[in-house]
Amino acid sequence: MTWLHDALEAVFAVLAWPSAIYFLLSNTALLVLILIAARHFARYLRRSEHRGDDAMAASPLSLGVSVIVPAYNEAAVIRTSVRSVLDLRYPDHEVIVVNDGSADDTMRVLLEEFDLVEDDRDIPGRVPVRGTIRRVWRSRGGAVPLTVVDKENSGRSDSVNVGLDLAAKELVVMVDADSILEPDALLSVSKPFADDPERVVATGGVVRIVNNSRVQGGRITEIRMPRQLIARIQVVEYLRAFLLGRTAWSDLQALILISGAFGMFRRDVLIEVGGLDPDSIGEDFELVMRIQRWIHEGRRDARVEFVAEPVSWTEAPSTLRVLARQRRRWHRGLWEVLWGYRRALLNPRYGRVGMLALPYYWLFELLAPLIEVVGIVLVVLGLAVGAVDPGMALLLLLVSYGYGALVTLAAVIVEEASFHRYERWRDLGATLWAIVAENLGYRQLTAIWRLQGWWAGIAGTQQVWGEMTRTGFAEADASGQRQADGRG
Amino acid sequence: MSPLPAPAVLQAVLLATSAVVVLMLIALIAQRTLRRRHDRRDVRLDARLRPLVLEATIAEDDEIDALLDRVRALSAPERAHVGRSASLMLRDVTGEAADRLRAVADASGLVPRVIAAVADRDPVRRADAAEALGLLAPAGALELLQALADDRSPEVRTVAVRALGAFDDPAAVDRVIAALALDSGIPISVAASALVQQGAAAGERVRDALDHPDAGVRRGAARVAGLIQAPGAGAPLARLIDDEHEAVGAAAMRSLERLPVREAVPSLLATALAGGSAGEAAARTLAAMPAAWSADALAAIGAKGEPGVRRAAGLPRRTAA
Repeated sequence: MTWLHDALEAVFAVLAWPSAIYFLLSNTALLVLILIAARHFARYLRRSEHRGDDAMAASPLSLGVSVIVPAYNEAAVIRTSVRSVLDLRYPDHEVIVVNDGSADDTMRVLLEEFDLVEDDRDIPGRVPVRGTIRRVWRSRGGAVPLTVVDKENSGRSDSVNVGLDLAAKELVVMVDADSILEPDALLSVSKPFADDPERVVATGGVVRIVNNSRVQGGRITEIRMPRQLIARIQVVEYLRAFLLGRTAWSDLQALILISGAFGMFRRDVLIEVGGLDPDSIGEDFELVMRIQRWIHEGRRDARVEFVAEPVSWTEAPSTLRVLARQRRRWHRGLWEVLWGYRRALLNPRYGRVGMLALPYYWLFELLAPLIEVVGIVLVVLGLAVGAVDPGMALLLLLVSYGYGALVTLAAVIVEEASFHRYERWRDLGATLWAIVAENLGYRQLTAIWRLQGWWAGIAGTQQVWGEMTRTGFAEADASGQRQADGRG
Repeated sequence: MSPLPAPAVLQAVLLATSAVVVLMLIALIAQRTLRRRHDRRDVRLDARLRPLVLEATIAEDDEIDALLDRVRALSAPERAHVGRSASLMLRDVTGEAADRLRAVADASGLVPRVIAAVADRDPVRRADAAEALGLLAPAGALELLQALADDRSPEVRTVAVRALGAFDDPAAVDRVIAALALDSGIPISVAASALVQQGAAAGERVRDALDHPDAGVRRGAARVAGLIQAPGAGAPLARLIDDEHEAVGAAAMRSLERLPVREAVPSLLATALAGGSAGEAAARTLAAMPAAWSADALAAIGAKGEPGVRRAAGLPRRTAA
C-alpha cells in the first residue's frame, strides 16, 4: 500500500493549505456576517421607542395583505391555523386557504367551521396554474375575510399561485398551514413596505423552531428548547444561518433567500414575475432569485429586505430520516437555483447579489459538504495507511471545530443581547451542549445528505416528498412528532 | 511549502481559540445574569409604583395634587420608572385619563429631560424626544416638533411628523401636508396617518392639497380625503382618477369608495375597462357606489371587463352562451 501512502501524501501536500484557508475563510465569513447582524440588531433595538408599530397597527392606511395558506392533509391543524391567521393584529388582511386536493377531512373542517358559501365570481387568471380548481368558497356575507379554494392536487407552489391569482390586496404573504405566527407577524414584516413603498418588493421574517414550546390556540405561550438533541442543534443552526446570516445579507442589500414558511411580496411584482415555479425544488430561493433578476436585469430601484423580528415558528424534523430528506431537498434546491442562475454569478450587473452573495453561496454553502466529506475520507485513509500523524489530525480537528464553535457562540451571544427568546438557564445549557454536539456526527451526516441531494440534482432523479403525519398544535406542547420536510 | 502548519502553531491557535471561547462563555453568562437582575428590579419597581400611576389616572380633581406630590417625593430611579410607565400607557389611553398621565409624567420630571433631548447630537435620542413630545404634549411641544420636522435626520423628521398627528393646530396640519411631498424623505404612510389622526381639523387643507403641484402631496391628500370625509373633496377626487401619476389615481379611487360622487363614474368605467390593477381598483370603487349611479357601468364591466376586473366588481362568472 505504499502507492496509496505516497499518493495521499502528495494529495495532502497539494490540498493542505487550500483546505486550511477554505475552512478559515468559511468560518470567518460567517463571523463577519454575524457581526454585521449584531450591528443591525443594535441599531434596530435602539429604535424600539419610536418605531411606531402601534401607529401602524391602528392606521387605516396600512397596505392590505392577502395571506395565502396552502393546505394538504392539514385536517388536524387547519381550524386553529386559519383562526390564528384571521386573528393576527393587522388593520386590513384577508386569508386565502388553498386546499391542494387533500385526501383527509381538511375541506370538510373548513366548510363546517367557517360557514362558507360558494363564490361564483370569475377567476382572474393572471398567474399560470396547473391544478384544476373545483370550487371557490367565501365566508357568508363577507363576515370573515376568508376565501377557500378547493382544487386538485398539484403541489404547494401551484397552490400558492392559485391563491396569488385570487389575492385582492397589495401585499401577499405565503405561510404554511402548520406554521405558528406571532400576533404581530404581519405588522413586523410589512413595516419595510410602509416605510418605503416604492422600493421594497419583498420581505422575509425570522422562522424559529417550535418543538416542545407550549402552544395554545395557535399561539406560543411558552418558548422552550426542544427536548430532542437533533432539534436543539437545528435551533442553533437556524439562529446562525437564518436569523443572523439573512439579517446580514439584508443589511448588505444582497438577500437572495426568503423562507417559504413566511415571506411577504408586493402582489403586482409577484404576478409580473409569474409566481412560484412549480417545477423547482427550492421554489422559495428560486422566486427570490427571479425577483433579483427582475430588479437587476431591469435596472430597477428595488430591494428585498429581511426583518429580524421573530414572526413564524415551525416544527423541525426530530428524526434522522426526516432530517435527511429535508437536507437532501434543500441542497438539491440550492444546486438547481445556483446553477439555473449561474449567469448572475460574478456579474457586475447584479451588484452585491452577483459579486458577493452568490459567490458566498457557491463557495461556502454548495461546495461545503463536498469539501468536508472529501476531507474526512482523506484523513481517515491517511490515518489508516500512516500518511497522517494522528496527533496532528486531532489537533487540526480541534482547531477547526473549535473555531466553528466560537463562531456559533458569537451567534448565541448576539441572540442573548437582542431577542433572548430562550429565558431558562437550562435552555442556555442545552444550547451550549448543542454547539458541541453539532460537531460530533451531526454536521458530518448532514454533509453526506447534502452531497446526496446535490448528486440527485445533477443526475436529475425525481424528488420524493414523503408522507406527512401531523399531530396538531392546539392545547398541547409542540411535541415535534411531525414527520415532514421543515422549511428554512 | 510545508503540507501543514507546524504543530506548535496549531497548538497556539487552539489555545487562543479556547481562551476566546471561555471569555465568550463568561460574557454570555454575565450578560444574562445582568439582564435578569435588571428585569427583576423593573418588576419590583413596577409592582410598587404602577398602582400609584393607575390611581392618578382615575383620580378625582381633589385627589390628583396629593398623588402628584407623592410622585415628586420618589427617588430619582423611581421617578424615572414612573415617567416611563406613564409614557407607555399614554400610547393606549385618550381623553381625561391621558391628561392625568401627562401630569404624572410631568411630576416625574420627564418633560425637562425630553425637551433637553431635542437638542441632543444623537438622532436616535432626538427621535425618542419627538415621540415623547407627541405623547406628553407639554407647553411648547408644537413648536419643538415643527423644528424637529425639519431636522437633518430623516428618521427624526419621520417621528416628528407622526407626532404632529396629535395636534390639530392649522400649523401642524400644514407641516404634515408638506411632509407628503415626494422629496421629503418621510414615508407617505406616516404623514398620511398623521393627517388621519388630525381628522376634521385637516379637512379643508386636505381638499386644497388635492390640487397641489407635487404628486406626493396629491397622492397623500387623495388617500386621506375619503377617510376623514374632507368636505368638498368629491369633485377634485373624481378629476384625480386620470392624474398623470398612476399612484395618485389609485389613491383617489380608494377615497371615492368612502366619498362617492356620481361625476366619477365615467372615469372609473374607462379605467376599469382598461384592466390591470387600476382597473380592479376602479371596479371595486364602482361596486361600492350607490347602485343607481353604477348599474350601467357595472353592466358594461360584466360584458366587456377582464375576469379580474369583473371579480373585483363582485360580478358573477360569465356563463357561456
